[in-house]
Amino acid sequence: MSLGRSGWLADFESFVAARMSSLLSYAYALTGERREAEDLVQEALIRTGLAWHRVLRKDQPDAYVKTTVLRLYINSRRSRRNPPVAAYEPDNGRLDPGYAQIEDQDALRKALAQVPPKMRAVLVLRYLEGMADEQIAVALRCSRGTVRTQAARGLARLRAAYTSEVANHDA
Amino acid sequence: MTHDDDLMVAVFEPDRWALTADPAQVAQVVTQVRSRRRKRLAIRAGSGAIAAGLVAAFTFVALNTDSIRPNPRSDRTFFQPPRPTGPLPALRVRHVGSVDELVQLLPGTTITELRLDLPEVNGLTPTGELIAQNRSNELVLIDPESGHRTVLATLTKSDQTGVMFPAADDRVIVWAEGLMTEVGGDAYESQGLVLRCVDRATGAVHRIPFPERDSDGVPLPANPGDFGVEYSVDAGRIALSVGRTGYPPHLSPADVSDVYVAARCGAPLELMVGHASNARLAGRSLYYVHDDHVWRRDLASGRAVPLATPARNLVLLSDALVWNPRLGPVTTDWPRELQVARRDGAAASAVTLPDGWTLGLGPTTLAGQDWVVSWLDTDATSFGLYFPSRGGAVQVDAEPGIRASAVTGRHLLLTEWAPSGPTGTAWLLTLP
Repeated sequence: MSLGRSGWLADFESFVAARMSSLLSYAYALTGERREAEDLVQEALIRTGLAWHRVLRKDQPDAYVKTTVLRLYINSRRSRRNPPVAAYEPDNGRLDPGYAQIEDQDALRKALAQVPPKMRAVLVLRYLEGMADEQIAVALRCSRGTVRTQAARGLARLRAAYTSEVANHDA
Repeated sequence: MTHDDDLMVAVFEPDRWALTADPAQVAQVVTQVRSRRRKRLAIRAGSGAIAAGLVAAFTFVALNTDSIRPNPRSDRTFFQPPRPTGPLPALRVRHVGSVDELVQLLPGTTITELRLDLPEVNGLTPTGELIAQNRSNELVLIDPESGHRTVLATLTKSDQTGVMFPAADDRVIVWAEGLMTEVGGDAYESQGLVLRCVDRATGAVHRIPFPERDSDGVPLPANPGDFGVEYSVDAGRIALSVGRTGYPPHLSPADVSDVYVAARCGAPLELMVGHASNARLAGRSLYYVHDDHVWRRDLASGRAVPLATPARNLVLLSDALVWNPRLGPVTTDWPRELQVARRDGAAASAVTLPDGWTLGLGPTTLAGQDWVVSWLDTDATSFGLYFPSRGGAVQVDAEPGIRASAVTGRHLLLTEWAPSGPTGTAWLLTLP
């Protein structure tokens, strides 16, 4: 095999250009931190690029890179001693006024930051990515029952945290 | 819609998380991939495998030999002692969540924790010494227990010289040096390979010149690294597979490679088989792939016998052959559906490795004594070990970010990586 110097790289660059914004959004929802999201996506894309021929044969480059982002995220969180609650990053300019019933948008982000990483990943995959529980189970290497349990617990944690945040804000 | 549904819709409203990629970020990713790939592609093994950890300088700063830990307890119900003869046992798979659990599965396994300032170890000797490139552009041999370093050779000068795929036995160490020229920024262009060896008894270092012509008499390219070079050593001999051209579609590596053997470091290469690849030495025998068959050649008599077919790539273990039966051009990985047999080709059977396994790295780092290692492609922090004669495979989810980075004989080197790079901690596992 020759070293194929330009064809695959052009394909890969097109993929990165087309998908990077979406991947950043996905990583941002997982981490809640813009800088960390950028780092995760960059590392995941580099790994994807290094395995590009193999990834293409599976015809799922988007799934590949998202899975890599997910596992990098979970690994990085496992290695942290403290949960990244304080890492909340306000971004009011992006809020959608259509959800008027959610009065405190910042409280949503703060509340989500208090959900443990794996539960948060389940919520992101289910509600932002629209993945079925079976797909989430594969991505997280766990059972479908675990996904449901994590989703239920994550939702409860989020609800409680949000209620607390709103109460603190009102006080 | 329930209150919880409202909450989820609000939290995960896509616009809330929308970020826009900067074109500079795209360019940065592509540049990084190109740079790392160049470093990795300087040498190609027959499986399309790439050496990792090409250019890192390496120096020991401390060794924690107190951390040599005997196996605290073991699960003897999973891995049985190797069965050296007869039918290979059916495959069972165990998933473990840590290296410690792996140790518990393999009675007699020990771990030595190493602390390195830059943990890129290029290879291992059969006795577990580390082969690495230091900051002074030297190849060094490091005793993992004492930390004592022996300089083996000064590397060939270039803008960036990287050691790849050291292969060693007790008499000789062979390695490739990838020579790079800086072309601006962080980018480097490969300027070819130099293959060298050291006679461990005398310390004499020799360059192994690539053949100038292939087995058909056609001149070979100036940079054979582009077209596949792999080697193995045993009993002081060196076997070398050299690709003659790129791998065109529908051709196997053996169709475009030739196999040579040198009787010792410093001896000339002798053409053994034209149109062959995956040369593996074992005592007086040379194993290789030729004409879609696995062959074994007696080096004394020159007699060769076919052992198995179809075969495209080959891994030789102490008590088994593992090969890829899918013919065709080389790819960057192996399929999960492999064939295994005894070294004489007997008791051949199909085996399907766990989902996600790709036996993708090169022969000198792929195979241990009686096991092969797999890096899981969607998650570089996971790896798998397959022991054909023990009938078992274990998938290790090592946290955080532990990678299998070198393999020889009974030894497996694991290094710890964070998303930003190596952390400086490594473990040398010595398997029973």
